[in-house]
Amino acid sequence: MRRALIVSVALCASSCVSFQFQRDIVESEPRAAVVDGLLAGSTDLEDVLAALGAPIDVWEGANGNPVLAYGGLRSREWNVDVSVPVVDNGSASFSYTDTTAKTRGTVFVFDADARLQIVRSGLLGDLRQAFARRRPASIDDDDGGAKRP
Amino acid sequence: MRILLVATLLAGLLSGCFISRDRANEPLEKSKIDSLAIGTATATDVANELGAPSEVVQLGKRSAWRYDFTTTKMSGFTLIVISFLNTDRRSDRCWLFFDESNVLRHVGTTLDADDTRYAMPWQDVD
Repeated sequence: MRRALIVSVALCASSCVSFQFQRDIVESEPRAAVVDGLLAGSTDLEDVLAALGAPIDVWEGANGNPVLAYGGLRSREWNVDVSVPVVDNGSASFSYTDTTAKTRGTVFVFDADARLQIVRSGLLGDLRQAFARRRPASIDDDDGGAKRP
Repeated sequence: MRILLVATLLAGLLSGCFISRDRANEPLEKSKIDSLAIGTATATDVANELGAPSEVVQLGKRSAWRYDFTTTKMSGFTLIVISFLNTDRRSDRCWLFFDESNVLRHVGTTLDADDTRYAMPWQDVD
């Protein structure tokens, strides 16, 4: 009787509450020992490509010089999905996610002669903001249809 | 009777198992990449050999082209109200760097797509 009750509750609950444990693996972080061997001032772009292969991203740094980003993601998270009927023919739902890891990596900033200037590790999103070239915002010439004299 | 019960239970549990694979773009051919001579190959030669890149990044007056092939493998199972999922995504990537005259100067290649694995979330994966 008790078992039947547990099974019934579980089956009923499955329609409105569910749990999910998910692991995501995206690419791989470069090995620290290899990164440590790439020193600013004595390493060039060719050395970095030979040691670490293709970066996961490349962007334009200060003065148009290249910035190479290497990194990967290893995340494990629990998701809880709750769905509550609110009208006869519909339902409302929300979810709570606890992300325990974010994309981390290392960026390599080069000068105009492709010599390594800076090496930084951390969250790639933050590093991109710090080392990406800032261009002036474009001027929006939409004047709402007004005619200039 | 016991075998039937076990078979029924297994069928019920296994019905929540799944695996899936997703691939984006075409696999990179290392021989084609290696055939591009640094210092003499031009952007036109690269386009003729490898086709259109996935991305072009402007680097001042220079540029970098990205080619990639990505494999994603997902596996998991559901037990009534709890699901376990594992997603593994890796890629073959090639970045080619051109100078102001569109001559190839540097190439970086990583071929990791074959390392993508089906696994459960608690299994060790490199």
